[in-house]
Amino acid sequence: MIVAVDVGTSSVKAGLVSPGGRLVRSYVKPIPLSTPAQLAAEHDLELMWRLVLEGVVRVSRGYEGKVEAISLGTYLHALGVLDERFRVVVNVMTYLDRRCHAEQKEIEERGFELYRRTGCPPIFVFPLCKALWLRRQGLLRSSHKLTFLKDYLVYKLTGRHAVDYGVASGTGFLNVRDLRWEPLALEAGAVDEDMLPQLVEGAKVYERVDVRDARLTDVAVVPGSFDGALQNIGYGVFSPDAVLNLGSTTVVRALTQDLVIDREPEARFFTYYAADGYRVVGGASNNGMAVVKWFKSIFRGGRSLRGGIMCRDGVYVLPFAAGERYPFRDPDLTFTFTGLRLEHKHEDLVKALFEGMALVAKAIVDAVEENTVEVRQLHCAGGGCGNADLVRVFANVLCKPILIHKNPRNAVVLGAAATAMKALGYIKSFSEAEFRSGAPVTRVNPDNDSCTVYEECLKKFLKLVNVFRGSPQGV
Amino acid sequence: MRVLSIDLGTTNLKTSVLEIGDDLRQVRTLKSIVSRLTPHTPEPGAHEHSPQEVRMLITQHVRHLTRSFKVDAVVLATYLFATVIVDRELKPRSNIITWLDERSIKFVRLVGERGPELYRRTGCPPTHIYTLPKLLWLRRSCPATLANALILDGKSLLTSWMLGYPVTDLSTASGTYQMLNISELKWDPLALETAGVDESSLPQLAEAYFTDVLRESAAVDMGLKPATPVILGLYDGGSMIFGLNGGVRDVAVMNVGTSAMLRAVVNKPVVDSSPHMRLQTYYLLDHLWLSGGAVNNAGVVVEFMVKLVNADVSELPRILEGAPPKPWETPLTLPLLHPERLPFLRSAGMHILSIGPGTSARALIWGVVEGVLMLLKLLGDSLHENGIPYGEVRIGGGLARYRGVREMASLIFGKRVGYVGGVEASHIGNALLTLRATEGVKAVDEFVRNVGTLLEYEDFSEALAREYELKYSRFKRLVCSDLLQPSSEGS
Repeated sequence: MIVAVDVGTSSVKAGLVSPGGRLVRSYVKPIPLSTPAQLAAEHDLELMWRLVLEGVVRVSRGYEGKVEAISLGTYLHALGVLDERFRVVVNVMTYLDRRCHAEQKEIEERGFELYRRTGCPPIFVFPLCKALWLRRQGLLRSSHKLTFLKDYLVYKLTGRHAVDYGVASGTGFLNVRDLRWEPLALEAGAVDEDMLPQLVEGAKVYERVDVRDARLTDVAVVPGSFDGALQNIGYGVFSPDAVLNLGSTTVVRALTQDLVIDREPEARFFTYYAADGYRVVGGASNNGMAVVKWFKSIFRGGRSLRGGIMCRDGVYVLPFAAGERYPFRDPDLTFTFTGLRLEHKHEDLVKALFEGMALVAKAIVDAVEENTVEVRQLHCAGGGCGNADLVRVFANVLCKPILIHKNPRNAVVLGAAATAMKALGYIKSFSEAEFRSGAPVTRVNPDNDSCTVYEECLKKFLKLVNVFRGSPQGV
Repeated sequence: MRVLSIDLGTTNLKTSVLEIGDDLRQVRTLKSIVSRLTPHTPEPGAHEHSPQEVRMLITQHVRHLTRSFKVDAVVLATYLFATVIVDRELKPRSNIITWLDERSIKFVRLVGERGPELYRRTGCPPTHIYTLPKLLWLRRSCPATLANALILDGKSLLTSWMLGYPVTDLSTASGTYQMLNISELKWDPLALETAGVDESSLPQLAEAYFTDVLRESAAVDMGLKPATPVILGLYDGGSMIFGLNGGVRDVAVMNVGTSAMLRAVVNKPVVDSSPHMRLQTYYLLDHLWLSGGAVNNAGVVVEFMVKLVNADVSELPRILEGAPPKPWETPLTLPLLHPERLPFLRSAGMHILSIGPGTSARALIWGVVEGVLMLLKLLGDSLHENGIPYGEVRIGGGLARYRGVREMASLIFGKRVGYVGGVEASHIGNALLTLRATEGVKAVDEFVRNVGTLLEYEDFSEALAREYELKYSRFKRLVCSDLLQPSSEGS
């Protein structure tokens, strides 16, 4: 049996997974997000560990003698500060924390070279940017350790400070080609290598430990990877398939064994390491279901959606309520309507919003495909998969089939279990892992006529985005 | 003195009994009746009113009011751009084709290269709202309608009933037909040739204070004394301008109602010197002209936004009465929901930019008001560029009732904005015209001085006005942005 942990930005989940890939028991607890200052978004590091431990205890109760491994999945882009005795100095700044907004512009000067080496475009979400801000604030000293959350959990379990390549590759400090800390990035972030955890492979056993609180003895600690990569692995989604996550953010993510970097200077997608030689290529739009929720709080109305294609009538929504990271790297982009006319009603605006969100995703998919990563079909994940109208719009705009899975919420836990199975030698590669609860049950096919229209719409959409990104017209 | 004011607007017919104080210090509205006109759309793009309905409603209104009030005169105000075809016995052959009717749009091009010259002569830029392109359309779609017919406007339709012959005032004629030479104040030969009509098909022309007596049959119908004086009056917007401004230069007048306009009084006909033909220049009266322009998208867009955010219309007064938001709290809104009547304002719909997570429904509604006022400021810029400066703005119209709207207008224009509360500006204008017709220019001057003491002004922050100036720069760039133009659609 494997205890798989998934620390997401809104909750800690744990699951007990049988060798046959069945989720036997699960645990979920929400994590409070604190905003101690303007633009801040933090998690309490010590609380996170306590919740993880509680999850391990709960799901393994009654199976203590059968648990072989604990495998860890955590969210990306977290950065906290520890002292030399691993006590918390600064809690975890999450990817929502925007305090290094000014530093992002500074990093931009070396942006493409850093991107070429690390796979991370110069964006405020990355710990590199946050470290620079912490240094400027006097909160980071050379005697401190940086923590990316995963390494803190590993430290608490093993007493050693180590992080998997996957989480490390989402910091902006890792050379994604050599899998070593990148000197140029360390210099840009004003960080010494001594401050960073040891780098390890996530799909290998790192240490065997006893977990006294859970009455577990001699269990393998498998560092695992980050949640996004584990979601692909949990669904069994490998290139040429990709995951389409319709959560608070919209993410397109393909798992490939090639190292792919955008040839264009815009750095329109990320490239991270996943585990066991796999890389993750994709992009995340800030403006996913969180924007839908915000939009509906202002434009209140019915639930039905218009049947026609809004962009064909010249109506576009640029859905950038929270700036944007991929494929348009601009924190100052804003939400925009264009082309409204008297006959338009609430349901038309919702349709145009869905189209806008999907056109952003299409721009990400197109960028990835331009760099030789084929995307044949997408597997839906996240709460937005329950909205049939939204999924249909995405299928038509992306012009690719979208598969809906039976239980999309367990994919990360199952992916973490798969890395443990690989580490323990039960499977030779991730593709051998088969999880019944993760199997797709519905397929939404694109409509060819709509595909053609949306292909044209994308051209106008990209022009509009360029207008609002501060072109000479600078509106 | 009591006057019966008949105001035929695009949406409503409003009939009021006005009382002008003997000391010429005030005008009071004793009673008003309002009826909504039924729009007719016999085919896509059509927008018509029934002349029979207009006559019936006027008769009903006047009969009702004259049961309680004796009146000394009748003064008329009618909307611009109304085109109605009648036979030589003055019987309507067509409905009244309004400015919202879009069937003549594609016939504007038939004016061709004559457009700029016609603009210079008539003050009317080449656009579909005027009678001239409507005649070009009718000649091709139903030529029989025009055979041996008279081509009337709203004002001359009313006078043909009330006086027995069609006469229209020069202000209504210049703003309706695109055929009045605004320098010579005569029908223009080039325009008549372009339209394919001669003078005998058109109504007589007279100053707005021209007065004749009500013919007996009409007096009986309406319950008025026979031979009651009927004063032609101005067009509805002109009447409002005259009421707020009294013919004074250096003061622009703004109306913010269902549509909106900004015009200033000039003592010679000034048309836009740029090729964009941004100004519409109409005659007012007494050798004064109005230069400026109007936009279709005003209160109608505010109502659209209220519906879109599913707000209760009854909340609107509370929102607009309060202080307006700061310029950085509202999105940048180009409120071109309807096609515009000004050739340079072409756009593929309404655009709302810079909406942030903190943007509220209230801010979206205010954003539309801001966008409407900025459209008017574009017209204000055109006035300045053509040597028509103005140091002050006076405001009227439905949305001007709200203090917040007046404050925002002050901030966007960076000028004092005066407002007369308690009585509608068009009623003041109609009262002024009555004085002009019955007592002459001196009485008008005295009344104008008195009205000046009733003006209210909103304080505004100079610092905020500078912030609005920056936002207005973005607005102008948006208006000029090729990407938002219909011609680049899908390219």
